[in-house]
Amino acid sequence: MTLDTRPAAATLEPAQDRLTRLRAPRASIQVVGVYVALAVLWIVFGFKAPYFFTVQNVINLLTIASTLSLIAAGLTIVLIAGEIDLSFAAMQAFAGSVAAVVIINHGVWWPLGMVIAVAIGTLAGIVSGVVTVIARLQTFITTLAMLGIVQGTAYLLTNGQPVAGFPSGYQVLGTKEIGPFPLSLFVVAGFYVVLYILLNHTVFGLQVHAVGGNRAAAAAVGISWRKVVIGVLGLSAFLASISGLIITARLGAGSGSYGADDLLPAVAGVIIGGTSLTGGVGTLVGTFGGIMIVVTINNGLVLLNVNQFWQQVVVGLIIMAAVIIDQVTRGYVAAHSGERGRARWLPIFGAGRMTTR
Amino acid sequence: MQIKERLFVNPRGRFALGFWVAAVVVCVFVVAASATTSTRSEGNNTAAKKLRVGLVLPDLTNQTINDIYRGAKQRAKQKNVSLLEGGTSDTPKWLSACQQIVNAHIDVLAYDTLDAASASSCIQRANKRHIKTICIFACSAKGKNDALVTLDFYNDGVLIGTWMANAVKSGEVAILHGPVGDQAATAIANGYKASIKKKCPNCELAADVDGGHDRDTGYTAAIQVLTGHPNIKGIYGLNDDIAMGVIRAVQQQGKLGKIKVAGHNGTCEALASILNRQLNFTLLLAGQPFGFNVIDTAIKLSKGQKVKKVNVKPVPITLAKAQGVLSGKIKDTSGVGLKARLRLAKAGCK
Repeated sequence: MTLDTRPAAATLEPAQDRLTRLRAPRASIQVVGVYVALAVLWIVFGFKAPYFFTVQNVINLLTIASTLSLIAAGLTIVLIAGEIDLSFAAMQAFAGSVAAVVIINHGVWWPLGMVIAVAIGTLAGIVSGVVTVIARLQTFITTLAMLGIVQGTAYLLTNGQPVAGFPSGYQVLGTKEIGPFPLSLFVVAGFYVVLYILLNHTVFGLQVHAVGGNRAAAAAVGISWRKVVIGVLGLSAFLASISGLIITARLGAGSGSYGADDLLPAVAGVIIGGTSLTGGVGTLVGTFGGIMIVVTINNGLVLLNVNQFWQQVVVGLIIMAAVIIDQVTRGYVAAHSGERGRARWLPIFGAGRMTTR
Repeated sequence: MQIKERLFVNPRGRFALGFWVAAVVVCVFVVAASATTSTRSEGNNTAAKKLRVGLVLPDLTNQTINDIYRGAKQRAKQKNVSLLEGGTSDTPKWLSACQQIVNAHIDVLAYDTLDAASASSCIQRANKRHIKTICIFACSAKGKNDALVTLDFYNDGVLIGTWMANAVKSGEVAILHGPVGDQAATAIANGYKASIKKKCPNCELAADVDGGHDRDTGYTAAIQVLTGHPNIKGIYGLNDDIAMGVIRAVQQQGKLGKIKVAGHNGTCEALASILNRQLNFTLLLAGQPFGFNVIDTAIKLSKGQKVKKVNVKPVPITLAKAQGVLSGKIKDTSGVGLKARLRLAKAGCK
């Protein structure tokens, strides 16, 4: 829980000026840090694992990262808006299950089936948003509830078993290759470009940052946080649904469990990528880097045949390190950009007071 | 506004609020009491015919477990048995579901656990309440079971390992094992590894990685194993869905037919894949008949009859066997309707 303790005048400072001043240095430092860490990992694994630096392995890395980074992009935008979405991984499984049942069991023309699956998934996200704003609940609660609803519905639809037999046209999205790279990579890259523009060069993007950075200030300049919350949750569900379709196209089947395990890796990637859990700060470039770090660690440890228990320990340690670095960087940047009083210092730095949005 | 005033504002309203709260509480008690009374009286009248069986299983995404569940549900409907169901692969939630079901006045508890030690308290509680218990596959460490439907998971692993050893003869092999902490998965994996070591001295277990529990996680693990070990000759995916993910990865890397792939469970899709010359081996565990058996056993136990231990024998399936059974050259002695299953698989599992 946060508390806005600043004088009223501070909230009248033009939102965009303050956002630019706060966001830019910290974001760029963190993004650079993420990619430096990624480069270090690549070098270490490149020396240790004989097949790490092969074209096939790079394609593997990008393939695994593609769907994860798509759902992580949705989560990033939700977090920038100061909210949280816990349902996106289950939403992937749900959209994939809807597509499988509609196309395979009911014989619906596959492009129409895809549209139906994405529409239902997106609608579920919008419902989460609407419930959040009408009942004035926290998105943690509503998306947790939605996680249960869509996950359970996915299992109900598929009877808990894989539904296989997609037409070959549908599977193109997951299996077609352009050169050495899978088509799905280009699809995800396309979405990243669109989302980057949406987040950084549109009114909606500005509103998302404003609401996440300081909801009171955003309201003071006439931004509706309700629309933003509904919008970001709908967008996150839309991206998760697309990702669900890519997974099912890749596997040739849909199931209530496909993609449902992606919640933690995606959250880890987003945090490592420098997105703040308290809103207002985050970049898609950082998120992609964070996801690549998570995927690289897993891939490197598999190639080295490291015990899976150790894999979990290593991933946990890296997330913890990333969060600590995030806090330290935040304090450093705030201190050097004239925002000392508003810094979210770590308790170990002694000066701390929890602020603010 | 008037209603609000009547309830909360005027001096009488304060009493009115208390009145309404009390009224609701009384109503709840009356309804609950009458429901209990009617259940008891109904129970007295119909106890002989309406048996209450609790069924606590791991996640139904495991297809053999799902098969057992569906078989039990189908038989319960046929035999007019009331089936209370619960469970998951997460031990605390499994235990909680088990305890709730034991508290729900059941006559027989049938269960399969992934954690023998943690399940014990629930089974012991059932014993104390004189509820008959049927252990399906994996039993609790403590407590008494009145009937057993057992399966030697370790031996399943040995069977798969033996097949793999004979199929590859030498070189690198891999295992994509299942969820961490799943005792059945661990037993199968141990059997596989021991068998490879014993039956194939020239084989090397090059990769022993987490294949998760489904096709998605199996595919992700498999593409990495295939890249890290380009000379691999055989991969065992712990269940058929994981094996389907392996097939997908092998297909994508253009190695179909060059790498032996084995699964476990004998799902319809796996049988179809064997007939399509993709999957090379699976062990068929026909869960549905054992689901029937669980309900039949529960009925016998409730009548005070003794029940023999049921040993589930898995049926190894290869392309040669599948084709032989389908053509009639090999007699279907599986006892689980293998020929019908293969026909269904050939027809696309619809």
